[in-house]
Amino acid sequence: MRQWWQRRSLRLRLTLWYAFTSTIILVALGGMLFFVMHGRLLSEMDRHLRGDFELVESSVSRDETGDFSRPSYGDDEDAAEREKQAGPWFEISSPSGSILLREGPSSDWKVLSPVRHFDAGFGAFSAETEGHLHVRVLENKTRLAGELVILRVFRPETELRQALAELGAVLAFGLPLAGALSAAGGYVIAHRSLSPISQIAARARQITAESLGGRLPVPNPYDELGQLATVFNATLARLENSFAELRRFTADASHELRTPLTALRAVGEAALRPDAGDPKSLREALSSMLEEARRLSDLVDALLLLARADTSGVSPSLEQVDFTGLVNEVRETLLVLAEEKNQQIETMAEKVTVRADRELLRLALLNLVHNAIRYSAEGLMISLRVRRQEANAVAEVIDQGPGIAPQHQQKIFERFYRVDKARSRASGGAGLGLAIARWAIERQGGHIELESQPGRGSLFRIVMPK
Amino acid sequence: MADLDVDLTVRRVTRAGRVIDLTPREFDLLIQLLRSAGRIVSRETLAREVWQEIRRATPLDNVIDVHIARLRRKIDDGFACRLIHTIRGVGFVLREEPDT
Repeated sequence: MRQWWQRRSLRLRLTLWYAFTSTIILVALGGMLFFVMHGRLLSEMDRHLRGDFELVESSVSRDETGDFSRPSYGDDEDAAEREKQAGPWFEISSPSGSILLREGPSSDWKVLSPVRHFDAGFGAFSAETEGHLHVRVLENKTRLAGELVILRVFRPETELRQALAELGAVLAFGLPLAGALSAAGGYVIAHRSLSPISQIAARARQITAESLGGRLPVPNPYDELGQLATVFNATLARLENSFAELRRFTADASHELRTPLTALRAVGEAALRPDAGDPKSLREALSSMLEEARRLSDLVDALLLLARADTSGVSPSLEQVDFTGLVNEVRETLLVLAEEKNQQIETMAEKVTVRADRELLRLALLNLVHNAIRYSAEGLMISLRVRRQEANAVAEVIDQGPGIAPQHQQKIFERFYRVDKARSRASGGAGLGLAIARWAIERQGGHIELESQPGRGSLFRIVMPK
Repeated sequence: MADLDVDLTVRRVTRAGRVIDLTPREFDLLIQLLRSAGRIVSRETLAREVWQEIRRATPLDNVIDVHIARLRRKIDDGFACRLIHTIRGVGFVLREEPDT
């Protein structure tokens, strides 16, 4: 049963649930209505019976022989008969049970139910006559003309029963109809609210890694399905970006790897030419090939570092690091490069410690400062600043170089991205330095900001949470 | 080595009796080359031993080249017999041999 239920469509299940609950509610309401109506009609009838009782009590008299009788309404047979039919019908019996007087629609009718001895007050109940007539009985002890008797008055329940039967019929017909209607309504509602899912599913089926440009339809951005579709679309957009980046990275990496390989082959082929027998030029060729191989392995090392960064979940080992000391150490290491270009590196550093992975932080600083040296012209100044900023530790690398145009500022941290496409390996790195720096900082929970104005210089800011 | 004298205790270097003034880093570099005199020392080895840098993908190679160039200027300039040689694509070697 459970399995059957779970295999049904959501639409059907919703419909069934809806029909089930609404039927329960309708049946409960119908039952209550029936019960209340029944009670109302009975109490109404009992009220009438009380009137009859008092009427009989006051009208019945006793003649000389001791028999009870009702005053006659004249000699007219028809009138008397009508009188009998209209009632009140009653039965007077002695406490011992013998009938003293009985009046009803016909002479032979009598209530099958025995007299119940009510010690006090009125008793009302439903009973059946010999002629299978349903009546409502009200009985009580009373004193008629000085004698204690039991008086029972009757009224037929025919009308009451008919009214209840009609109500029952209406309910019996109406409830299933209402149940069916609500099931149908539930189905329509479920269908209408779930049909966007089918559309979304159909569209999602068409989206693959190759066609990530597609987006799911958003039927109504305010309801749950719309929100779901919006979230999925955002995910798709991110995926598309990642895929595009990956594709570009692969293309760039292949290109970067091919260049040294081409050089290697060219040099090797030249060295193998028959006229190149001179040992010195052969040595020269070998050296050149080794240099290219070295470049290749450097590049592969950097790529491996970033590739591992993408896949491995190894967490950086965080410790308290003397940020200022580290910046000075990096300055010390790279100072010779600046000196070669007559550049100066000044530092303005507060004493700041930071919780970080020392090696990663150093890697990032080395790359940023090296970048500043590489892209600044001869004789310019490079500034390093370390300070506290609110809850963060901040290091800034400021150069007076050419700056970075706004359209490049976002992309400059991407792998292999170069502002100047023509400026390739001749001027140094493979375009991985900033990518590595950003990876190293983000790995530790920090981030790198860039402020730059073309022609005025750049500011790279490492922001580390303390 | 040849006419090059290194006093490890006071970290003093003389060549042909003339004192050569080296920075600590240059001194360490020279010691490293002397330890494997006659054998080629790669940049990786120098980075590891002198700069304690294990990670690749740093801009250290340029730094090493600059230091080597300075060291060579201080030690070999003005001497007929050059001691520090660059083996292109491989590394550096300290040996007594006129440069080819």
